[in-house]
Amino acid sequence: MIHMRHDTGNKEKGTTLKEQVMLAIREHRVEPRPRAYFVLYTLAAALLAFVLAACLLYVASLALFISREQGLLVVPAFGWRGVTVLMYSLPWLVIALFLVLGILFGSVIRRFAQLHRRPFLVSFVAVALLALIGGFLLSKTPTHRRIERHVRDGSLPHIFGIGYREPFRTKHAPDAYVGTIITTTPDGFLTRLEEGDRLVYVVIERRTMLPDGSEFSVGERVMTIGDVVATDTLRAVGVRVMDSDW
Amino acid sequence: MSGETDEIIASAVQAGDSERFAELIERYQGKLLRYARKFILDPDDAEDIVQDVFVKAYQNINSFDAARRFSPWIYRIAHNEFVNEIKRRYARRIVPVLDFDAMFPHLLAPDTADSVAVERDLRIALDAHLAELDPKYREPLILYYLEEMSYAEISDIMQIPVSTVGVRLARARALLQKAAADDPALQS
Repeated sequence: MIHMRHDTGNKEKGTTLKEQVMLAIREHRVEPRPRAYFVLYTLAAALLAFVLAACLLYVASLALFISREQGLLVVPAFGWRGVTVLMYSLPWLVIALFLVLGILFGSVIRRFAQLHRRPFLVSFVAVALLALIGGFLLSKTPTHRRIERHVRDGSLPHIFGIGYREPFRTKHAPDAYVGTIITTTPDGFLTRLEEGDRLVYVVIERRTMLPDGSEFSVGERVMTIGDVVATDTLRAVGVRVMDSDW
Repeated sequence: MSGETDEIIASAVQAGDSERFAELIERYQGKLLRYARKFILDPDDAEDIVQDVFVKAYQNINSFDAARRFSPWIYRIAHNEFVNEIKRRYARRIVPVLDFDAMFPHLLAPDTADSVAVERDLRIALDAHLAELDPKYREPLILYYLEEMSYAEISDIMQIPVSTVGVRLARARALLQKAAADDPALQS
């Protein structure tokens, strides 16, 4: 019997529902929870939403930072080959974390402001867009670069730098190379690759896609997508300067 | 019974006048009993379950925001209690964890009254075949046709998007009409 769960007393013959509930109230067998309980509950939910929002913003900015650092946001300019590199090299773990946090945050805030009236996908897309805009702005600040420097110096506890290392920071696709130009040549340039710290000669041909122009300077950090044609020689399909804007 | 609004009475209960809770019980017990009987489909236990609803409402009265309407608030408590009861009895969820109806946007059918003839036919079918419907379709029908609530109110009570209320009502109507068409008693 349900009424026994709340101990409103035995259901005597003839007593109405109202009488039973009121009797339980008068005898203080049922008490209202204090207002502070609900205030604390709301504060806890708001705090959880705030923490999730902060995490979401940070993870969005980290995904954008990693993508930009690895030159991923410029590779679609190289056509289908660039899209393949993008798909291979995107920081998928960070993106997965972003989606999980977005779903959690969306679920928490649906309790507020009557967001349940909208389909979940609509609130999730709105949350994701806002987080991406905020993350974009945050990724433009020196925050991530500083943290990454500390990670490389080893001055940050390992756990805090986890997002800046593999597997969160994925490797480049096999045919994408990032390096710094050591010297220029009549038909290309010599670059020191970041992965493996080796020297590679990049040959630029007429068909090579050069969205930033064909003039390269010593010291520039560039991404090259190309095919290995000989030992330490690449025939470039496309080259982009990585310090350029998006 | 006083002419005061539910919200004023609830505020008085919040302020410590617990006796006035009896007025709220008087106002809502008939409606909630009808809702329980139609939704849970067990007339015998409906009174016990509704009693639990009032106990929960009293325990949580301080969470009620008197600037809002009392009716959707107590119906929300009733909905939770009834859904838990159905889960307990049939050991299954009413809607799956991934409820695609509530996840994706749908075109919203307007919240308008049916024609008198359609409404009459639906009410006849409702009485005869409501029990055959899945609870997730049964509940919006009860709230819309018997409790005469708007889509927005049903959305607040069931915590589902307004467009999902429209989708479930449309499907529920179609199911009812099909059941009525197959029912020789209703045909005659």
